Amino acid sequence: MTNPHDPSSDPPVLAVVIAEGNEISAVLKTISTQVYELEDVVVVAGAARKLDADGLLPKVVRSMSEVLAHAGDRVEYLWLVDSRTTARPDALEALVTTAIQADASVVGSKVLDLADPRRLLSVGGTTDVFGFPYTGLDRGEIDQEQFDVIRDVAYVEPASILVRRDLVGGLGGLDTKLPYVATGLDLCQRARVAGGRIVVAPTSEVFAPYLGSGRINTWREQAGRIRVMLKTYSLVTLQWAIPGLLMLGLLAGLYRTARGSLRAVPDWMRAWSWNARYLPSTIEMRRKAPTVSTVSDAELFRFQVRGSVELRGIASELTTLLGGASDEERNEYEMGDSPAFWQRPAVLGAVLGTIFILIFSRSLLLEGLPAVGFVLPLADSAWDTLRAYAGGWHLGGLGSPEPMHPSVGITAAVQILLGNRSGLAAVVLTVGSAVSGLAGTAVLLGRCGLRPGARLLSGAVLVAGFPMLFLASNAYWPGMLAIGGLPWALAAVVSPAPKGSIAWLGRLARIGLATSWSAMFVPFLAAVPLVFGLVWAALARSRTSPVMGLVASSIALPSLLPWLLAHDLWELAADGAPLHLDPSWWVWPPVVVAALSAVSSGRGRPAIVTATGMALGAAGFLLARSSDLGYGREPAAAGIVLLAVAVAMIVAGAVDGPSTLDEVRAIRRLLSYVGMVAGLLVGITTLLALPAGRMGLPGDRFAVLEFAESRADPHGPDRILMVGPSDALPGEYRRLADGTAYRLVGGVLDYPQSWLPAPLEGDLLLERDLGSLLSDSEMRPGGALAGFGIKWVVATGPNPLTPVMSTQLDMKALTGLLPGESGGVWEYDGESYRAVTNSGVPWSWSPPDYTGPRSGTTVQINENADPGWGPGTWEMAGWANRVTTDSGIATFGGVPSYRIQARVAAVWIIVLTTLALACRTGRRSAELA
Amino acid sequence: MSRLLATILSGALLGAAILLPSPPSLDPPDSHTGPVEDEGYRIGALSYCPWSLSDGARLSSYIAVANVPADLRLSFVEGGRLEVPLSVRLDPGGSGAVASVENQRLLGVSSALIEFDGSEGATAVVTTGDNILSGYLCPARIQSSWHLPGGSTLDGEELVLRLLNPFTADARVDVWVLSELGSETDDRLEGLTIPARNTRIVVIDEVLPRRESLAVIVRSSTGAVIPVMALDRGTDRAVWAGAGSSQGWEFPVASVDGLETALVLTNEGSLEVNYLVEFFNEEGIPSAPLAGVIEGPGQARVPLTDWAGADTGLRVTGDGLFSAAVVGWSATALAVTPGLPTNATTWLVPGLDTIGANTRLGFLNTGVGEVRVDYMPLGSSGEGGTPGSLTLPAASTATVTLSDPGTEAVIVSGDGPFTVGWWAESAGKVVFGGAVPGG
Repeated sequence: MTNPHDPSSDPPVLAVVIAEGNEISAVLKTISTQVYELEDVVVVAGAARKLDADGLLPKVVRSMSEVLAHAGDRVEYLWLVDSRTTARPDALEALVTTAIQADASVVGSKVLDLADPRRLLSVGGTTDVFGFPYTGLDRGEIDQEQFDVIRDVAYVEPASILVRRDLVGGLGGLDTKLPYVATGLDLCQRARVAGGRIVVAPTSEVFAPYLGSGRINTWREQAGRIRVMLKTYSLVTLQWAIPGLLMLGLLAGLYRTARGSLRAVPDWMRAWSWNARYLPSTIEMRRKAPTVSTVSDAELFRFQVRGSVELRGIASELTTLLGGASDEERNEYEMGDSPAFWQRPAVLGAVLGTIFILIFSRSLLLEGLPAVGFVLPLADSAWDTLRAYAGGWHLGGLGSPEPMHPSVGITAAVQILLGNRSGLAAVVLTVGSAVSGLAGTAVLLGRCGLRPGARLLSGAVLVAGFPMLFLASNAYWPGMLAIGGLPWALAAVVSPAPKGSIAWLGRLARIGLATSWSAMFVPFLAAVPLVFGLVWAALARSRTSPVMGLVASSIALPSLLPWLLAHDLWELAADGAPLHLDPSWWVWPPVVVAALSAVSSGRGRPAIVTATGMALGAAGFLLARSSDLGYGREPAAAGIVLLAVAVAMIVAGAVDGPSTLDEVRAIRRLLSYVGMVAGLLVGITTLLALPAGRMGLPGDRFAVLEFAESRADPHGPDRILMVGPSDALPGEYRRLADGTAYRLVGGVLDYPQSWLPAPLEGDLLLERDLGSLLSDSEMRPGGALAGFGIKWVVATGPNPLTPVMSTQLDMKALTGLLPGESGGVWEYDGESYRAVTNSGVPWSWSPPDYTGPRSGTTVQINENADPGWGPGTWEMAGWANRVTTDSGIATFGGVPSYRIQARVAAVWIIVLTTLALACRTGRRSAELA
Repeated sequence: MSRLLATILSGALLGAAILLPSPPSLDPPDSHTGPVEDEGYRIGALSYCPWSLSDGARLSSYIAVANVPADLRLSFVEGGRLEVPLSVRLDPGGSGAVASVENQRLLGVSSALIEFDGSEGATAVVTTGDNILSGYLCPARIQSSWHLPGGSTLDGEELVLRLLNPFTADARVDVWVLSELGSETDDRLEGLTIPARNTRIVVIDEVLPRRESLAVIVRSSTGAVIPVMALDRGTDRAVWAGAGSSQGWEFPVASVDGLETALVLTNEGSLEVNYLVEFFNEEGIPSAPLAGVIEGPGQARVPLTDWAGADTGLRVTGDGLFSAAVVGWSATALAVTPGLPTNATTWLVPGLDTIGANTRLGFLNTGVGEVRVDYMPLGSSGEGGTPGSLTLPAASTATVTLSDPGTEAVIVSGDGPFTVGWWAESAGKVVFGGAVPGG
């Protein structure tokens, strides 16, 4: 297309005001002040409305076609002005001059912020293939004439656009269904397809209100971009671009939902629905437009950036998060805008961290989690698990009204959030906790003032160092999950105090959530922020950290209800088989050398971080080996997790140490470098866990128990008695007098059953019977165990029961399962029901209830006796229960006080989550304002 | 300064942590597979009886005895299942309870389980009829390694090993043979699978014919079996169950007039065992002991005919684990009995229901003090025999002839430890019987 003109004469221009709202007096005034003489002014108002022109109202039309009719043949250019725009008096003149000089069909103005004319809002820009605009500007970037050059761009904002009249006519006018940004994009894209040139004229300055960064994510703008693509891309391009945009929009919507924007996914759906509704008009406009082809696509692509700008922004947000900038330091305006984006340390760190976690956990991501130790599948129904958790029936052993471990509640809650998909939830929990732990460590050390390289290395040390590998090799899943929250809590302890009450609320909620997350898996970790705050205060002379630590520890306590109040403190401390950390000797030298070298030679924050890690690590190590002092599993697990964080801090301090020693004596520098090398050595050892790709978890051990479901009678699997070495049993276990470890499994093994309540009468009788079984005096164990609802005996390794089972008379060996001299599976052919009516009809276990035929009957329920069982009359049947029911269901009524406490805990978590999200959003809004 | 304090504090905590010991493993130690000392035949809730005969000309009886009344259930083990044809109440008979159940199935050789409900007891299987007078004690405990010394496979002899697996899991065993040629093996004796609730028959004389002295050791690698050996010479047949290993064995009945006897010792270990045989008689004047060596692994055969008289008992001790049996034979008789690895103050002696036989009890006191012994004959008809008592001087033996008809068992008690056995003779045939400590 050519544009013949006579430079000696001013081409006639018609000003077209695009009315957004009723107020147009300001724009009319700014038009009247233009030094360039206009032919006329026309207002386009899509719907009949009363316009406030503050004086003489120009001609008002409904559409661009009327504008073109009104313009007449003399008019060469249309100046499209948004009604919210004001302009410098020479703005139009600059546009016209640029159009003539550059032989451009569409010329846009430089747009400045109406509230702060120094701030740039737009100098045109490019888009990605999905039409997502990319301004190239930093948020709040000041206009220092750095963009004052005439440039070809992909689009200009419709605040002020000069466009050739004949081009507008050829294109069929403006698309009135499109919102603000999409209108400009649509005009520019169609103009380019038609062969026109689009440029920005920086000497033409206009002012528009800043509508916020979120304006391009509204459903109208999303819908507009889709419509523009449909109108301007060839069918070949649309074949991949539309599915791509569909998925991209969904991912971005999910991400924004996770960030607290609950309308993101509905907006995404609405945008596509809108396009479906207006698809006929889109097709009609496409038909009217100049021919689109792969050639025209290529022309469009010339002014587009590669990839997705939106995804790049999300990645930038995540890396900013990983970079550890504090809330106050975090600059949202920089997202994705730096030309050296991929070279920034935070980005590199995020990429390397992601690669590390992917390699570290690849087998789990591909195959799912093994069933071993405490790493057990989540229950089929998360809701039923929560029912049992909230003051219901403990599912372990022969049952109990005792509250379950808090980790049962939190894992079930996460499972519900993930659509009750147990496998997905388990993997997300495991890998997500590692990711969160790594990122949290980077943030913690960032806020401690260390450099990105040290942060990333220490993040790897946290998730793959010897303490966490010890937990993983012992398959102590709660400890692995607890690591996801603790670094974030500690990071909040060392952060500077926020400004304003809303920011304080948000900080407290987030620190409470992070601490609660860790404490619900390893309850004694609730005390760590306080201890950390005190140590940090002593070493870094911080006055706020003890207070923040105390607050963090206190806020986490309600989340542990009702488990917390159902036990006394010593019981909590002494219960469970201890995890005794006893690493190989070669683990220690590099850690000790790194710690001592960094503390003795370093200065500043690296030395303080190392000293803090050293103190915490020693305390953690003592806890981790405290079994001889009478402490049980929970303190030891907390000690190991604390040691993991401490080793990460020591490594970070040691690696970062030399950076603070510019002008010191050589011997001190040498010592510092020795510490750095030792720290790096510790970091390198994390690579040992990468080849297996299982996060240090052992192989599957209990998938074999699936045989129970396949061999079960129609009422479902009965109980399984498992015996074997203590480390070859799932979850918790009990011991007989001779030390033989054993436990019951309710047919289908799941995580809620991994924890055992305190033994009640039925458990004690079972222990007695097992003792007589082992003493060789019981030759028919199947009949003896059937009363406990036990149909199968499973030996997982060397134990005294296996020889006995080879010389008994009523349990059949199932060959092919757990083969070998020391293991085996035996099945009882007789009746071994968990629940059975007085007429001998077995009932099914639907945890935590029992179900059966709907008819009035009495059911014997082989769970530990408790009057809470119902719904009808209850009586004790030996150690078990007998209840009447005519509803086909027998259930435990629950313990009211535990129910209330569980609800308090749930409400507390919801309040914390809401505050964390709401106050975060509020802060940003305040910043933007 | 604060860093120094932190370092000192950390060092102190670290030192304390390192000093804390690892918790001891509470898991019970893995059971070892080597030979274990035999606790001997004991009363139990079960008796495993791998051999009984019923074919019209010969008849076996299960004779069960318990200290207190109990219900008895007899189940034949056949074809992978337990048949429960009979439940019997053991009625009180004097100070104990006894029952005798005949195998009337006419199906030849059978295997059976005897279960005591409400008590523990002991069972013997006694067989009479054409060319047979035999009896053995049914084991009540499982051994990982069973010894069955005393066999031979000379011309005209049939030596059959029966391996009973009454349990629910298949068993896999190795049969190891010691003979005058040393340790012998054969593919047909290795890795034998005995299906659950079945009996496997191994005809030793077909595998290793013409061995004069042949001892069998049965070792289970998977599951468990109860072996019994039957040696048939045409004129008489001996049946005896396996025993374990011990460092000492006693034989209250080591010789019978008219029989040639020999003591057979087996050692499954790799080290040789030095043994010492001491002889006791009614006079309480010990004969000179015999010393010797059992090769490791190997067997030793000690002829007793020149050393032992009709009232002789013996004790054999070693400096390692071994097993022992006494073999007696004549032109018409054949009898084998394993030893007793322990002494006790109360004994149950089942299996005396040998109608028409000359039955005698033999007592042995190897201690240094005299022991007063009371014995109570029991019959399943409810009629007790005539109780008796005697005094066993130190290091002496004694014999008592049982004359009460219908005596099927005897309960013997003393005021000190001793051992007891029995033998019976009928129409030129002889049986050696054992006893079980009474709990």
